[in-house]
Amino acid sequence: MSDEKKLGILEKEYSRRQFLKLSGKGLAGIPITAAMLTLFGCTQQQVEDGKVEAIATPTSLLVVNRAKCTGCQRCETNCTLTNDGKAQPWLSRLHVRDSVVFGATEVPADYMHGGGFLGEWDMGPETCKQCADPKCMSACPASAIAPDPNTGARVVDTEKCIGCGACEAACPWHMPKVDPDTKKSTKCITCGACAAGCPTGALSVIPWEDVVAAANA
Amino acid sequence: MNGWTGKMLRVNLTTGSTSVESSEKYFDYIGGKGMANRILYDEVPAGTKPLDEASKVIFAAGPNCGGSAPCSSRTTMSFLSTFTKYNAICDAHMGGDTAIMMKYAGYDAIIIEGKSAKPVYIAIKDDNVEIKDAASLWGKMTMDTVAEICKVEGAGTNVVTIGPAGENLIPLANVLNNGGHSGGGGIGAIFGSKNLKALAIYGTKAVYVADSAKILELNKYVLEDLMGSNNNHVVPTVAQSWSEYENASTRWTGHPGLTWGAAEGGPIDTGESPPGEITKFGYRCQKAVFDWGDIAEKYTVKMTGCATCPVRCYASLRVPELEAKTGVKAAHANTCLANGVYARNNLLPTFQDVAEPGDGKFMAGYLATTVADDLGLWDNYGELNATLNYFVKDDCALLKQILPPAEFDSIPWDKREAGDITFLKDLLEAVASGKGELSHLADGAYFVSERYKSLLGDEFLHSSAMGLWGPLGGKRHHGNECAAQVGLLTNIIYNRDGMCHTIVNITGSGLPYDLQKSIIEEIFGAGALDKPKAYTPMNESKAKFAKFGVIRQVIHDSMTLCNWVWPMTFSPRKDRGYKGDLSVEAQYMAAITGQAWTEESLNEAAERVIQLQRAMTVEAVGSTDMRNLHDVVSNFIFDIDPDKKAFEEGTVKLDRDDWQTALTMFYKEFGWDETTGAPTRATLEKFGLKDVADALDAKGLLPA
Repeated sequence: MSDEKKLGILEKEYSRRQFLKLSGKGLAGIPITAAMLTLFGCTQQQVEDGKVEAIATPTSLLVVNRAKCTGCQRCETNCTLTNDGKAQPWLSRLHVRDSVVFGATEVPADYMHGGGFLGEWDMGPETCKQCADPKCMSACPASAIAPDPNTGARVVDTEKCIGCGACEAACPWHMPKVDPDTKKSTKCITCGACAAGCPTGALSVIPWEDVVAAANA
Repeated sequence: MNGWTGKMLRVNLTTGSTSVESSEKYFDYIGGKGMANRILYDEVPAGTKPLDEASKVIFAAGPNCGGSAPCSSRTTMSFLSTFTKYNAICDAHMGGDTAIMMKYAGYDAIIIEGKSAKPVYIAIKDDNVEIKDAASLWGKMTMDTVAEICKVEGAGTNVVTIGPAGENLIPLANVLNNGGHSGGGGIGAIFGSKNLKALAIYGTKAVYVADSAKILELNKYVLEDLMGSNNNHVVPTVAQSWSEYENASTRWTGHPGLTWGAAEGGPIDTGESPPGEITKFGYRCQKAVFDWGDIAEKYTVKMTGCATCPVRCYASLRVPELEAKTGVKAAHANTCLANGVYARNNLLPTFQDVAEPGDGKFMAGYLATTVADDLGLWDNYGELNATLNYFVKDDCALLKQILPPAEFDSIPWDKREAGDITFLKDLLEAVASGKGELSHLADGAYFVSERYKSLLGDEFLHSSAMGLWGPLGGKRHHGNECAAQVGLLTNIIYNRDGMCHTIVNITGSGLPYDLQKSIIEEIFGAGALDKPKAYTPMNESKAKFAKFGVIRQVIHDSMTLCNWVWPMTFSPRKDRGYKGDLSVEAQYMAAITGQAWTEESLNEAAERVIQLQRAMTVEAVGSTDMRNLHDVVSNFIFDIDPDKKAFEEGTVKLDRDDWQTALTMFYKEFGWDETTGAPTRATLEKFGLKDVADALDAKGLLPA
């Protein structure tokens, strides 16, 4: 891989940090190599079918592979036990419970041929996209959401948060939630507990240097 | 409050009222099974029949449920058995997502009582509980019912529903959630009798825990060091680079070259899944090929299962060719015996091919599993299939005697003759219809025997063809074929099949027998574990081992954990000498609740539950003579392999006199009267059950 291409990923990553969708055309314009497929644990077909999602974080790529998700929902309890000290999947910083039955948050007209437990098993978690232009951050009236200086993740400053829920309303995926106990917004801080505890690797966190090495292979 | 929510929900279908009460007075019974059993004892008078208005159904989960421990989302439902002699207390254990949703909605238990005048369903969203009209749902199959309710209540709602079988009061009717997760015991008929179609639950609340860091640490410990595959089988079927042993019979089927063949975007290799690698754990159990054979690999989309479970034992198949040919839904999931049970034996003597030569038996089994789940018809661990086979054998000799000619002729026998697999769909639909005499073959084996006593004599209930543990009507479930007397002793505790997996998880672990024996004898004493098919007479070590099996099962059903995987008796790790850790359940209880639970205190609480259940069974039997009226086992257990004697190598048969010794030793371990097997006042009082002892005493049901 040329330095120019390598720089392409990193520039897109660090300067604009957009939500990267893997597609048949590649990742951020870089063609998918066999080594990248191995690293992501998916097939070219899964990528072309749009079943694999890649979310850029400052240090890594979070890959969601719906073909591997078995609906156990351990990601949600691990998330809340780690970050909130209690088990409360509804509060989780990624969402799967509302789509495990039908593969989507609405019941499909032809549910038998849809996803999830009642359909044909297509399912997977919706995760925080760590957006380049986060709607949650811009909607916050208290300026409580800002990039963490170490991880770059957009995190909630609980000292500033007033628990109004504007972040949840503004997020296209309604990822943040206001904890009814603390009255503070919760939001993904890219801690990785969800991926570390996923028993099938449907969620995986891949360091950028590994992505670049695989792209270069 | 940590672990428990401290609340239980009461829904009265007669009055339409709902209320929330404290659950704290039941904490001595842990939760789940223990809590549900005590509520049933307190609120449903002995002598009540299961379909009476006074009959109740209790859903319950324990303090550990919702807290994230691996395999902690099974629901216990307690009620009166519809299908076994005495209609005594019965539990059903259902996986899926119901238990965690109930906990996250804020309830340790849900009590359903009374009877609605018209079809209804109960909709629960946290504190908001409504009884809603279900007129448009009555008559619908289970999966359509889930879809219709979720359109109203939200796609993420967990729906527990009956199908036509429950509505038609078929004693072998179940409830299901998330497709194929079933609770049996006849609970579906009780729902039907109450005009209750479904329970829909959505919860957003927390399960609070005392020590979240400790729970996460325990999760890591269990997943990295202790847990194997389904049934805690700790040896893979095919040698892997890290493994010392291989054993073709285990459920650790995943290995390089074996795939989820129908995964979206191409096959996913199950690969190596060594101990310590949590993110590969879910590939250990390729249950589809274990349950269905090699043919299922190419139809396997993935493995699914219950919330919180990393094992994933639900073979999730998509068979479009079947749907194209028969109209039966292409994708369905179930596990173990439910997979393919109706294609066994002789309901269909031949099978037409569907997609390729020789696939008819697989297709027939898959079709029947899907149809039965959609009807809400329970197989009772194969009993319904065994009963149907008993009546169709010898050119339907018995069936012709019980069915009026017109009903007999209405069955599409031409399809059976042709090997048309949709015959099974027609047959199961007729059984679930509640119309005609055929439906009575789903009354449960005991009631079938009573109904046709003049035709069946004693032979039916005692036959190896039926495979019941005893004439009470419970199916043998890991009985004498599993560790001799030990397995069979775990069966006689219940008023249904045994459901105890503590022992079979050990014998089926895949470890060499000598290694199993050394670990088990270290815990229970010499002679605790016989070599398969090389049995020895009863001894005290076996009695202790059997009691351990039952008590652990009660712990799991009460706190909640899945006894299909727990306890962690063995480990897959060579560096542990393959020894597990039996203290983990108590460690979870302590971390969740913040209370000082130990292995001993947990055992004691679980034994309290069993003492209560035994007392309730004595009340239902109406006699203290449990040895002769309840704990009687089927003749085939002593009479199989007529050319061999008990304790000869090569047979699992037991000896009648030795079995009586086994009962005596088992009774002694539980502190029961050694003659009758009934709990004594001293034992009941030892476990804080003086009120139960007094009630038995008043009825003359304490042993002399």
